[in-house]
Amino acid sequence: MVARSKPPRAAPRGPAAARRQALRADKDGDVSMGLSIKGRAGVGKSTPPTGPRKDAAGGRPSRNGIISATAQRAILRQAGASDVSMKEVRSSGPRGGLVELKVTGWNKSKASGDEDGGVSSLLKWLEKKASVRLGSRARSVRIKKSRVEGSDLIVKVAPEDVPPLVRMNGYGWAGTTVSIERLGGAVQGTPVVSSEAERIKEMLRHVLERRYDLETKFLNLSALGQDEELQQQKIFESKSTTSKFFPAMMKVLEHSFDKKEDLFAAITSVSLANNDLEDLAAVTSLSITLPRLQNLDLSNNKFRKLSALDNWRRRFGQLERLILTGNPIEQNDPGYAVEVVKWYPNLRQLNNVQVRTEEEVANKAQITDMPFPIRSAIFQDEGGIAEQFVLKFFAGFDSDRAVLAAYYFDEHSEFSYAVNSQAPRDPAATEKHEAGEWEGLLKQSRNLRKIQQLPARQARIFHGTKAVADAFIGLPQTKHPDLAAEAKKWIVEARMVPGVPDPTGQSPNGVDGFFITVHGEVEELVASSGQIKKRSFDRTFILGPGGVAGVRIVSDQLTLRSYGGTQAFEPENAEGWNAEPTYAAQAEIDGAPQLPEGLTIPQAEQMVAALMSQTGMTLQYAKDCLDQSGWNAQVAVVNFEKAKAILPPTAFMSTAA
Amino acid sequence: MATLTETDYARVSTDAAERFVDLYYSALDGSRSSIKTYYVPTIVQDNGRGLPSISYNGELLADSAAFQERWEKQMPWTHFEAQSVNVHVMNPTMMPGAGRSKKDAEHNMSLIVQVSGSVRLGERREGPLRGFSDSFVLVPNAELSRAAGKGGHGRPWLIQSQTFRFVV
Repeated sequence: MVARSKPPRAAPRGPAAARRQALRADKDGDVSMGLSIKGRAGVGKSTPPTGPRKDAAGGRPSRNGIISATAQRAILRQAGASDVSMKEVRSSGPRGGLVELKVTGWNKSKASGDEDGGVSSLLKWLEKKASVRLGSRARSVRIKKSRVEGSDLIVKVAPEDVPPLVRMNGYGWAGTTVSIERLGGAVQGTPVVSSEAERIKEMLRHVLERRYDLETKFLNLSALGQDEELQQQKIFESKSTTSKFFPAMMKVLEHSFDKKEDLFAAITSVSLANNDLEDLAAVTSLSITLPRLQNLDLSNNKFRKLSALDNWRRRFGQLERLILTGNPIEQNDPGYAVEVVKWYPNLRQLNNVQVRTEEEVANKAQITDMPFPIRSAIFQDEGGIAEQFVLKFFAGFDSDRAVLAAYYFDEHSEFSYAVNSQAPRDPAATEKHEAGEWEGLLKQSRNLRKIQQLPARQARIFHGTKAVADAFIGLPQTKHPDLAAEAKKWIVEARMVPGVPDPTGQSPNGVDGFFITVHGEVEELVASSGQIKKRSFDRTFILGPGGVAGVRIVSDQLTLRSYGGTQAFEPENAEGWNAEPTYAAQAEIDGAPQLPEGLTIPQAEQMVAALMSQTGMTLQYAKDCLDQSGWNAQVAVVNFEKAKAILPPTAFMSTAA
Repeated sequence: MATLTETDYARVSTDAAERFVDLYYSALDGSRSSIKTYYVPTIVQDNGRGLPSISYNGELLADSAAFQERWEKQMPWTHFEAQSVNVHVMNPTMMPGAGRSKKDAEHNMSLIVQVSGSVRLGERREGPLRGFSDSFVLVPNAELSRAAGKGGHGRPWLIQSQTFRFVV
C-alpha cells in the first residue's frame, strides 16, 4: 500500500526519495517533485505539488493531535459513506462585506524582478490555485482588491473565498513559501466545519484539488505517502486509516460531481506511481470511480507478479496507455507485457511502447492470434438458384407460409427447429432477457441436448409438405430484415454438396445440391402480449433439384437463440480475399467464378485499389462493391454513391484521426 | 434388403449426431492432433470439386490436414459448448444395395447436423466468449468395417461438408 509514513524530514532513501530532492517549480510556481520517471514521460505531464508546509507563518493550527486515531477512522468511514454536500463547507461564514487577507513570504520570489515585484503574477496564481476546478460546483475565486504594505500583500475577497485562500497557507510559489492569514477578526469567516467527518472530507477534497491538472485532465495520485498534508493527518500511521483513506478519497471525488459523466470527462489520466503498491487491494476503488480512464501510470511500485494486478484485469475497458515500468514484475515475469496487452482491448501503448495501432483497436471483435479471422460470406451459386431461393424463402416465410411450404417442400422434405436458450447475447446488450421468453416455442423445440426421449425426438421433426406447413403456421408471426437493404444483418453462405437424393431416381448415388446456411435476426410477434421480440437465428438448408420451383428443400433446420447482434458478421480485416493460398487453391478446384471471365487477379486488384482510393472504402468493401457491380468500375462507383449514406464507419479506411 | 422405419432413422441419426458432436468438439478443445480423423479423406470429385469441403468463418480450407494444422499451430485455447444440437437425415439410402442387413442399412444414410453454442477463447473464464453456429454433412465412414477388422479405431461418421461461423 501507500508508504508507511515517515517523519516529514526523514533522510532520503531510495530512488523516489532521491528524486524528491530535486525540487523544482512548475510554471505556476508550485514547488513540485521532480518526478519525471527516468526520462520516460508519464501519462500526464504535471507532478504533484507538495502539501502545505507546517505553519510557517502561524496560519491555521496544525490538526496534529486534535483528532485521535480512533476518531480519524470513524471519520474516514463516514467520509466514504456520507453524501453531505461539500457546498455547506464552502458557503459557511458570514455573507456580505469583503474580508482582508495578508499574504507574506513572497517578496524573494523568482518573479521579484518583475516591474511590480511579482505582485500581479502572485495574484493570478492565488486566484487560479484557490478556484475550485474539480467538481460540478466549480467556482472561481476572485480577488476584488489588493495593495502592498511593505513586505505584505493585502487582498480583499468575498467571505466565501476566504477558506480556499487560507488553505493555501504554506504553498510554494516561484521559489518561495507563501503564508496567508486572515486579518482583523479571529474566528469569523474561518471555515466552520460541522463535524470531524466534514473536516476530513474537506481535507481529502483539498488533496484532490491540489493534485488535479485541469488542462491535461490529470489526477496525480503519485507518492501519496510523501504528501505532507496527508502526513499531517497521520493517515498512513495505522493500517486501518491507510486502507480506508483511498476509498474515502474516491467517494469524495465522486461526490464532488453531480453526474458521473462530468467526472469521467474531467479526469482521463491518473498516476499512482511511487506508492509502494504491492497489489491493488488498497486502490482498487479507482476502477469503480473512474472506469473510463484512458491513461494510467502505475510505475515505480512493488508489483511482483501479474496476479498483483488481477483486480483490474477486467476493468478500465477504455484504457489506452498504461505504464508499469519500475516494478519488480519486469524482472520476475518478462512475459507480463503480452498478457497485459490482452487484458485491455483498447490499449495502444504499454510503457510508452506502441502495442496496437488505431486500426487494430478498431477491429475490436478480433481475438488475439485467432487463426480464422471473420471474412465475408462464401456464396457459390449456380445460375442464381441459391440467391433466388433465399430471397423468396424469407419473404414467403414472413408473408404466406402455407404457400411457401407448398412451393418448396415435398413429401420427403423435413423441417424442425431447436431453441438454444443459453446462447451468448449481443455484447451491446440491446435486447433484455425476459422471463419466459421461449414459452410457446419450447414445446416443439428439437434441441437434442434437452429432448432425450426418442418418441419426443421423432414427434418434433416434420415430414412432408402438410406437416411442415402446419408447423410453420404454428410458429409466431415473423418479420426478417430486407435482404438487400439490410444486408449487414445477414450472413448467407452457399456451397454445392454431392449425394443429395435424386427424386427422379436416375442417379442412385444422389445428385449435387446446395448446402445453404443463413444467420440473421428476426422480429417475432409474441401472441400473448402483442409485443415484438427480436431474436437471432441460424438456418441450414439442403436444396435438391425437382419440385414445382425447380429446387426443393430436402432439409430445413432452424435454430432460434437470443439476439446476438451483428458485429460477428463484420469482416475483421480486409486482407486476403485472394491472398490465402488455401482459399485460392480451393477456388481453383471449385472453378468458383470469383471474377468474371477475362479478368485476371492482378487486374482485379488494380480495380479494387482504384475504387479504394476513389471512395475511401476498405479493401473488403471495395471488393464487395465491385463484386456486386459485375466488376464494372463505373457501375461500382454509382452503386457506392447510392449506398454511401448507409455504409457503416467500418466500411471506410480510417483517416489520420 | 432391410428397410428402416421412421423410428429407426430418428434413433440412428440422433444417436450419431450426439456422439459425433461430443467427440468432435472435445477434439477441437483438447485433442487437436486427431482433428483430421473426423473428416472424409481428401478427394477431388469428377466435377473438379474437392472434399471435404470446410468453410470456417468465411474461409475455405483446402483439406482437413490444413485445417488441423491451423488448429494445432495457431488456435488459442478453446472451450466449446454445444448448447443446441439437431439432426436430419439428408439421404436415407446413399448407396443402393449396399449390404443386406439392418445394420448395413443403418450405416447407409447421410446426416445433416446443426449445432449452436458458445466458445470461450484464449483462457478459462476470462477469455472472450463467442457464439457459433456449425453445420455438417456427415457420411458413413466407408473404411469403418476394414478399420474395425484390423482393430483400428474407426469413426462411424465423417464430415464431408462443414460451414462454421461465429455468430455472436
